[in-house]
Amino acid sequence: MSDHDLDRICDEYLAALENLDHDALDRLLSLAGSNPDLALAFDELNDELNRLDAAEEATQAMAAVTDAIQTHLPTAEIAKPRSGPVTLAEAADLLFRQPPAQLPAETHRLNETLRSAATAIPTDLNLPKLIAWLEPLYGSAPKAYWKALYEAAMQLELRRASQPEYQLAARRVPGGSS
Amino acid sequence: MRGTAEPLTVLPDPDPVGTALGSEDLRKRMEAFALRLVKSPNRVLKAEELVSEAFVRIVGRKAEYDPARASVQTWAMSFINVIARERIRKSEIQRRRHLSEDELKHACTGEPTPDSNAVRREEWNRIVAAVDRFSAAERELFELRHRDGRSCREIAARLKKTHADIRVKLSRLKGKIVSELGIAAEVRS
Repeated sequence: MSDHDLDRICDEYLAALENLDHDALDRLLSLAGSNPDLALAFDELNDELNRLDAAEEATQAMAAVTDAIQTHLPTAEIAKPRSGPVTLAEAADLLFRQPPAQLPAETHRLNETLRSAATAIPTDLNLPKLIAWLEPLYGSAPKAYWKALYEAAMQLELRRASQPEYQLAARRVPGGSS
Repeated sequence: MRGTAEPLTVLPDPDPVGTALGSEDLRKRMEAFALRLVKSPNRVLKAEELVSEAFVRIVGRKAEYDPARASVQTWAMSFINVIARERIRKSEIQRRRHLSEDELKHACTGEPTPDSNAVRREEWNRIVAAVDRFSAAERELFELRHRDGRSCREIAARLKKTHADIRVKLSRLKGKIVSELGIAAEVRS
């Protein structure tokens, strides 16, 4: 059987599964009965389809859970592995979920604005430089707010830096016992 | 004791069906196949029911098994197909429009169809529009297969993917085009 014949029959098999065309499946399974290469190709297709379905179901389930958490537990944080520099939005989002006790009420509006700012926070900023960078862009705010934002950014930076070490520590040693 | 060793004779398995049914691998493959035939909610449970019923029927009819005609696995999948056919409501079955190789090849180039029939022209435009909406990666895959005529084995080697991955992706791309055209009039009653 040539590669093109195998491709054509596999295509017919996938179409028959999609259309639930049992007559075509009968015919194709009968062909596979006398052709081990074809039987193997059908098995591989079944495995691939089921793998894709499982991935899709997992994505849908994750989306449903995330949606429910965001609806019913608005201050809960959903931990997702991230890479790249910490953004203003991430730091402001952490402040939204874990607001410091003494944060002035008027800073909440500014924090809401920053929650949608995707700008990366430079890693070499100290608190005075952070204030000097952000006040011209977003207006003035009490120093307590900028300090809380700075600390949130540092916390996220440390958390991100420790992710690879944590994963290395947690991984299974190849060939080792489980 | 020394002597001339007699050649070993491999006796045929007196119960190839029973042996195969005892294998975990066959059960997994049957479940994977059954899952493909169930599209309703609780599909995992329903697929397991299909497999269980297939086991009962296979055991009841194992004397009919002819190893010269099919492997036990293929024979078992035929049972699942028969049971699924009995159970699935015919109204659920919708046969989609078939796309010819020629149509797929022309869809890659986007050349206007020479067909003078207005309905065919409209259908043609929808096929080309569907292909235009493919991502760059999808388009590359589709063109390798239908414009350049590469086999799935060649494409898989080039893109460093498995054959099954390529075949399923191509089938789904074709499905996207077909869904643009809607369900064909040919629906089983």
